[in-house]
Parts: sequence; structure tokens; C-alpha cells
Amino acid sequence: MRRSSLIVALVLAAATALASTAPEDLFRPSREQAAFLSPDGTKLAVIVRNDDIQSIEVIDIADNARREVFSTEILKADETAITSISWVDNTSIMFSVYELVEGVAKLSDTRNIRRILFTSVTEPDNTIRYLQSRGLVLSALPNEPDRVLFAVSGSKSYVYKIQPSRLHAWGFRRTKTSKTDNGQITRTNRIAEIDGRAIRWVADINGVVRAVMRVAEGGKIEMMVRENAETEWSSLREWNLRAIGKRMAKAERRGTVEDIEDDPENRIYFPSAIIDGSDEFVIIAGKDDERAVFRYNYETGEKTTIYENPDAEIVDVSLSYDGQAVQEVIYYEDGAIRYFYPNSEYQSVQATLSGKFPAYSVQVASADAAGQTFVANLSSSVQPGRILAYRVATDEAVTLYETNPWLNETELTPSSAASVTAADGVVIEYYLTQPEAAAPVPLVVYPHGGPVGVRDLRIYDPFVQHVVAAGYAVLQINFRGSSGFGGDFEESGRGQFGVEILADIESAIDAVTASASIDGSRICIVGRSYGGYAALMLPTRSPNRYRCSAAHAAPTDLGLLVAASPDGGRTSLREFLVGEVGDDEVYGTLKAQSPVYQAAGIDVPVLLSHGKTDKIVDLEHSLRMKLRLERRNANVDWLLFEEEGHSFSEVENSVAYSNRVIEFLGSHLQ
Amino acid sequence: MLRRWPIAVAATLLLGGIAHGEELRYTQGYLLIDADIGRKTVNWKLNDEFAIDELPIGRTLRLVKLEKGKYQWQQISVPFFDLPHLLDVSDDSRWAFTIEGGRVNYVGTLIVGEVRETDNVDVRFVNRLSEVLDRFEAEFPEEAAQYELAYSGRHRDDFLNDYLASDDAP
Repeated sequence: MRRSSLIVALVLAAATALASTAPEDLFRPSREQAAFLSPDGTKLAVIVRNDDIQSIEVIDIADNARREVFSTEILKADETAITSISWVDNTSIMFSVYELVEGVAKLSDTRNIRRILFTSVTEPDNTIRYLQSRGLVLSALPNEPDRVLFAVSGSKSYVYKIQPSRLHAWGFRRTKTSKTDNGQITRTNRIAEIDGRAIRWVADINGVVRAVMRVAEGGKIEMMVRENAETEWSSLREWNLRAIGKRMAKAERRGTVEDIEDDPENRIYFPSAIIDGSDEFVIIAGKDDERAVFRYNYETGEKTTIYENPDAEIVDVSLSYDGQAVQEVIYYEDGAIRYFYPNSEYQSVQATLSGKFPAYSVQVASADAAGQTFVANLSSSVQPGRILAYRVATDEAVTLYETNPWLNETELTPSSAASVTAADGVVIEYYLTQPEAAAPVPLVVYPHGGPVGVRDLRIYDPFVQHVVAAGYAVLQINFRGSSGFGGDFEESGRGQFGVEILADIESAIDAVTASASIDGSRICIVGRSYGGYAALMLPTRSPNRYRCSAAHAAPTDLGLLVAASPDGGRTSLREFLVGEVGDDEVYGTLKAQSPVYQAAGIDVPVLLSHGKTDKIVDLEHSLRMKLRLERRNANVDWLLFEEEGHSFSEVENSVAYSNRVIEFLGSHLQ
Repeated sequence: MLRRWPIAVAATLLLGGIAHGEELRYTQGYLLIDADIGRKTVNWKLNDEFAIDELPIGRTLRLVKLEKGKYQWQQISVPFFDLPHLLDVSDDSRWAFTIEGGRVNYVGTLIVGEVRETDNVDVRFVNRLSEVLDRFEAEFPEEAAQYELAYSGRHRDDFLNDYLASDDAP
């Protein structure tokens, strides 16, 4: 079973805060990072971040009263991270915390420890309890308060029903006579067992474990089911992984993969829930490169669609508390995150709130059992997250909190979406964030990384807002290869590193500079990773079009990228890179598409920057580019981040980078 | 350790680098060893005859004479406390290289770093040719004047030749 919860923009939290002209404010991480609604909809458990400390606060939706129920300070670890919260019942929660425990000399026994903790959110003393045994909490039990299903996998695998309030309290000192998890991991509490390693258990709405997927002998995966807790397991289907591999390889050679990949013998679906009163399961699975929800009969392979959206690629689907219905569907539209609710009550509330707040994406979660109070999250390119309670009776929406309230003092600029048709007929979506100005503004082209399987969104982006606040329009392009526009579109980007993708970017530039509000004579390109590559290559394609180029962590020598990838031990990465940029035997082609070998054509000032510990694109790429440009006395600025990898991990480095780029743009776009 | 297929190598010639100004025999080339060691000392083995013991913390650049031929790095050991970390690369073609006679062969930079999140030592062998250029000339001026520096790792790399021959040179 899967519990429905209100995830407050994890994606947005990752992109983190943004937007004021003070970059420290723009880049400051959200205070509230994720929120989870109680089953009865009356309380919200929120992961809160204050500097290096995380805590969990519980908000009473009726009066917006807050109470801290946990802080990572009690763990006394060097670094900690609360990763998720689930409600055990309406008065208690469980949550996962990762602790980084430094070893001797920071190396030999340094490790991440994952802890599963529990606490009441209503008891005054608020004791923190913990699981000593290593395993996985499958779910809470909707009809049994203070009970969860806990799975332990090994050569034999077990599921136990345990009572969180009886676990040892944090800080409990074990003695010779004390029992692990206070004696709850026992045969008496065992409600399911199977030979072999279990990789997925499924319980029905009554908490009876009805199905298990296990690793069987001979490299097989086997789906086992049973009618109830008293009956024996019986095998429903098994898959021979080696045989599947051979069949798929053969089909690939013949070009018949599509004919056999949906065959139940070849496709392994992992069940998310079992349909009440039937032998069918709910699966959330890929379908034509989109995500969809099905009822599935493992025995016959019969598949019935519960939900699909042919018009948009589905990002995520969550099921209702009992796992029997689709609760929420998340998808992208015009670069914004959108939410769909099959339930008509939710639809109605969403429509009402969308009317009140037309500029926002509205995510709705159910509130009290009577369906009178709902909790919603509003987000947009100028709002990382605003959580509010909506009361149906009074048609009143009350803000519970904003994730980045300090941004309210800042004027942020919303992004707009548009599209352009490339010369070969491919439609390319792009986003423009443009400051209000009386005169035409310079343009900063900001292609995303990847390039394949990654995309831009119209969500709060601190860097974009910082650049716009400095007086420049920012153009982001979902060129071919970007994710979210279907499998064919994504595949069409492969091998187009230095060809069609660059053409797509220029098509979008053409479209944007056709507007009188953009000064097409003042354009710079700024990018990271693949975006940095594009920033270096585009001036060679259109020599007089750009004023400057800023490339961070950019691959500049495609031969080096393919052949000498810094993670060279990983065959899969090498294969991935070959797939991305083309066959590495075609070295001449790679050279023709590599900025270091095209340096003579880069006739604009360049800002090069790189993280010294980058394992995706080695520092050597930027060093080579720097050498080549310096050799011809080109105008090169250089910025090295000693402790950073491929992406920025420290906020102050994001700020330093952003400031340097703004300064660089100011020198060449004014 | 390093394994060389065609010709055995005398250990006495290899250990500890070379004296400046020594001439190469026509059957020999230089191996330019570059290492960036972030923690503890590291032992780097080429073959039974040649190993570099106790590469110190920091950056090391050494020249070693080797007979022409194909080689394979064998093993990197990073001793820490009583839990030595051994990386066997004897079957990994990315750690193979060729010594061409009469020139200085750069084959890659060994990087050994701290990894806080995992139990593993971070060992990488990367092409940092552009970093090595100036340092080679500064630390081995006589050899730099006398012998051509070239990349001799497993993969094709035209960077140095193109860079030196570029007509956009000042």
C-alpha cells in the first residue's frame, strides 16, 4: 500500500530558493523542504532546515500552531539528513535519517548510517524511538493504529508486525538482558516469511501480506501469492533474467524489440498494491515512455489502464491511502508542474484555488475527514512554495507558510513559455524570463546540461532570477534530446551533441530576437556542463552573433570525454557517453565538434570555470580550453572551485559563481 | 606494478627516477610519472621489476627510463592503518600504455583522494596532459629541451600536437 502525502515540491526544494537582487537571498535554501499530511488531514509534518540542522515540525492545520517534534541535533553526527516522513497513524510519524559518521582520519570507517525513527506528535514528552534491526518499513496499517509492517531480507525473508510505541527510546542503554527492538522481532510477531531474498512485499487493505517478489535459484525472479495469512504461498509467475536478456538481445538484432517487450514473459512489473477482492494488482509502469497506472493480472498478463495521459508525459503518480485508486498525477505542461486529481472533490477545490491564484500551479491534498478543509501548495517560477489551508464552507484560503518568505521583499520575474519549429520540423519549447524595461534588453542564452534526458522547467531558479535582476532576459531551451516530450524526442538528441542541438538553440534565439523588446545585437551564452559546451561552440557557428561566453564544467574535447572519462572504470558510463556523442572511433568527427579544436573560431571573451573534483567532466577539459585560448591571446577569465564537483554543493559557491557571471556579463553586454 | 611484454626491465634502472642529463639509448623512452596523492602514501606497481614505493602526499612528477614496448599498470595500494586498500588494474585496458623510444611518454596522472561518504579510496587515472606541460618544462628543463613530450596512453589524443602546431599560436 502506498500512503498519499502532500510532497511540497521536492523538485523545487532541490532547485532551491531564489530570487532577490541579493544573491544570498536568492540562493538561500528553502526553510521548509517537504511536508506530509496526516491520514485524517488535520496535521502537516514538515521537514525544516536551519543552516546545518534539520528538524521536523508538526503544524495543526486548524490554527496553524507549530510544534517541533525532532531535531537532528540529538544525533550528534557530523552530517545528517532527514529524507522522508510517513504517518504511522493520526498521532505518530516515522522518518528516515541518514547520518554521516566520520571514521578515523575521515576515511577507513566513514559511513552513512540510515536510521528509522518514530515519534508521537501529540504526547508532551515526545519520545524518539528507533529500530535497531536492519530492514525496511513496508507501510503503516490503516485499520490498526500504532502498527507497522517491517521487512527483513536475507537467505530467508520475513515480515513482522511491530508496535513503534514499544521500541526502545533514543539513548536507551542496552544491557546483557535487553532485547533487540524490545523483543518485537520474534516468531510471534512474524506475519509472513519466504525462502530467498524478498525484493517486494505487498499487503492488502487489511494488512495481510498477500504477495512477494523474491530472488529464486538460477537467477530467476518469482512472484508468489497467497489467499490469506493461513494459506501457503503459490507461484504466480517467474522470470528467468538470463533468458530474457538473450531474447531481448536477439530481438534487438532483428529490430523486433517492440514485438516482444510487452510479453509477460519478458517484462517484469513490480506491484504497488493488490486490488481488494481480486487477484489483480495495481502497477505504476512505463508505457510508451510515459508513466501510467494499470490493473494487472500476472497470471494472464492482462493489463487494464486505470489512468494515462496521452497529452503529457507523467512524472509521478501516487495512490490513495488504501492503494486502491489514483490519488494524484503529476505532469509537466508548458514547462510548469501540473497536478491532476481523478477525484471530483479535489478537482473542484483545485479549480477554485486556480481561480483565486491563476499564476500558480496548484497541488491539492485532502484535509479533514469531512472534506471541509484542504491543504494546497502553490508554486510558480517566482514562488518556490506557498502552503495554504482552504476551508470549503467559508471559501477562505489561509497561508500556513511560505518556503522562502524572504523572497517576498524582492521583485521576481515570471517566465513565459513558447515554441519554435526547427528547420526539420521538430517543435522546440523554450522559456523566456524578461525584465520590465523601456528599451530592448540584452539576451543571455542559458542552455541546460545533459544534453539528453534532462530538461528545463519554469520553476523558481535563483540563477535565472539573479541574471534577470541584473537587467538581462534569460532564454532556456528544451532542445531535442530533452526529457518530458516523449521518447522519440529524447532519442532524437543522441549523437547530436554538436549538430542539431546547437541548431535548435539558435532557432530559439532567432525566435526571441525577432521581438523588439530583445536587443539581438547584445547576446551572451552561459551554460554548465553541456550548456557550457554549447556556450563555447555557438560562437564558432555564428561568429558575429555573440558578445561573450561563460562555460562551467564544460566538456571541451569530446575525444577525451569518450575515451578518457574520469570514471573510466565504469563501463556503463563509457557506453552512455558513446551513445551521447557518437562512436568514439569517429575521432575526426569528435574533433570537429570539440571546442578545444575549434578555438580559432571562438572570437569572444570567455569565462571558464570548473570544480576541481568534477568526476563527470574532468578539470582537464577546462584546462585545455584555457591553454588554447591563452595561446592565441584571447580574452579568458578563469575561476576554479577547489572543493566542488560537477554541480555546486555549497550555496556560497553558487553565489560566487553567479556574482562572477553577472560581473562578466556586465563587462560585455553594456 | 607494471608488466611489460616484450622486454624485461632492470629494476635498478627504474627505481627512484633518473639523473638529469642522462641520454636515452635508442631502445628506450622516458615514462613521465605524474601523481596527485591526497592522503597517505601510495605504492604504484608496474611489474615485478618496477614499483614506486611510497609516493608522497602532494604532487609528484618523475621521469623513468623504460624500454620501448607495451606496458600495463598492475596494482595501486594505499596503506592506511591496518586496512590496506588494493586496486588490481592488471586486466583493465585503461591502465595500459606504450613507451615510444626517444621521447617522453606521458600516460596519465594517478589521483588518490579522500572519500568521506564511502569506505572506498578514490583512485583515478586521468589524462591531465595540459596540467603536466608547464610542470614538465619547469622540473625537467634539459629533457624538455632534448626530447619531445607526447601522450602515450591507450586512447588517441591529438591535443598536444594540435596545440603545439596550431597556427593561432602567438
